[in-house]
Amino acid sequence: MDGKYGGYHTNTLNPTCTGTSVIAVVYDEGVAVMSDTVVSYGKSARYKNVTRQYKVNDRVIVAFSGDHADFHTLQNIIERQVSKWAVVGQKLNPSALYAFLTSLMYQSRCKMNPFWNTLIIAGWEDNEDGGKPFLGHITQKGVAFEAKHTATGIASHLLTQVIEDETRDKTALNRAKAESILRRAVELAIYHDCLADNEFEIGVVGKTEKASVHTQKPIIGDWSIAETNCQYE
Amino acid sequence: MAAVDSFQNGVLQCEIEPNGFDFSNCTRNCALARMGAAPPRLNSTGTTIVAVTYKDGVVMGADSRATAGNIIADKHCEKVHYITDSIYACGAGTAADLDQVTKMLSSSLRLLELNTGRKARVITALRIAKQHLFNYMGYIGAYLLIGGVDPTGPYLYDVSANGVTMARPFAAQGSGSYAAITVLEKDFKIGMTEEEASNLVQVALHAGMHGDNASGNSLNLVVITPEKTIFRGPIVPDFCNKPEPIESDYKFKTGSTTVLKKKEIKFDIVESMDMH
Repeated sequence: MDGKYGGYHTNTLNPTCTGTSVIAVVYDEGVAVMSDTVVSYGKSARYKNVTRQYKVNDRVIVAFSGDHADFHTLQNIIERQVSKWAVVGQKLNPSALYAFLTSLMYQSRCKMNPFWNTLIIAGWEDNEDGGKPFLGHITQKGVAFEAKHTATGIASHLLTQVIEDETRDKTALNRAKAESILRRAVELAIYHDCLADNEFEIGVVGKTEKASVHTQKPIIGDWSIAETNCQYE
Repeated sequence: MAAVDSFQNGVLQCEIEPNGFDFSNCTRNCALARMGAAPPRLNSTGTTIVAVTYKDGVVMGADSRATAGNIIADKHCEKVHYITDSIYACGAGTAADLDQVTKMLSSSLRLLELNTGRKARVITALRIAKQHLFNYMGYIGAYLLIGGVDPTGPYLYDVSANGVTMARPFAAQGSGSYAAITVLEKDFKIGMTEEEASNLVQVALHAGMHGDNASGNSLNLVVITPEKTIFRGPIVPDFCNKPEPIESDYKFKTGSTTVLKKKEIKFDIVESMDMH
């Protein structure tokens, strides 16, 4: 596509440095979000210890998968929104940010210059009934929905069913159970996602917890079945 | 002179009659496509197939949906194919290719059993399948899980259309394999009982049938032990009979849009095309 600068592409065509899946689960008094800390350059795990979660304010965390540079731009745009709301003395709440980002992603996609990201917006939504957890998922095309648990990228194929089995028809989770589900999810993800890493973070935001992102102990996993394939067939 | 001629003829014959697939219709097909004639859709088994080895034997299972694009072509497609009494193959990929390849394997192994006087081995089925599929460079779209019990023990192998094979303690293939393999990774243990293995296969199939559009309807199981082979199916899971309640709220609630003006037009029905 011809850009303003005479023949150079000014529209996003491919992602360069990418983050892999993000997995998030709602529990009784908040939301927990898991993302690993590696940003890949194609198939190379080039940048380690990179956080893929952005703490917008005490009530909202935005996590991304996809292009890292596009997410940096989004962070700046979100910061500007936070300032605009602060001018009128308001704190940005999750559903407002979610609505804003949905429009932004969709508009960019309509201009054929998308933000090459899938975003997870996790937060605590204040309302008259004391508040409730909020979890939103926005894709690169601007498809947006709220859910009780969600995953982006390959994890959406691998882990959705397993997480659903743990959460459907069961009593509401607490924070510890939600985090343990996410830890199990990391172990299962590293078995089948080439771009996933065992060093990861869990971001938590809830009724009593201010938004915070915590580094976790790396997960090794069980590789004993490797010994069963010593055969020439 | 004659000897050279006949040799040259032999060489020329090879050039005229190549082995493998004949792609000479491709030019014709391209011309037809340009004229607007759409080629027929391949019947794919967009599938979930799962197999698990346990202490004494193998449990294998598959869903039963065959798709042609976005339509379900066959609700009760048989994807657990008989090879011998103690060897079965679950197949994902192109439905016709799978049927033919498994029939070929079954007859080759039966002939081998009659010729050698011994029970056929799982690894033999694997070798024959692998050499056949590699010959066709992946154009025969057969992705198989070959499992069974022979005099040397229980085995499970995974074969892809291009000829890659691997021995595995548990495996899943098909479009629903992403969901199924995660369930297997989560709950597989070495040395399970037959009941544990059978349950694990069913849970893995449920995950695939639930999460994948191209898998579903019902499932078939086969349990292969040294003494006997039990075929179980079709089993219809609950969520295939009755859909689970939707948790998300997609609709705009009434009153979301303010009504500014209302106008009612009354009209009489002169002639009705209603058919009762």
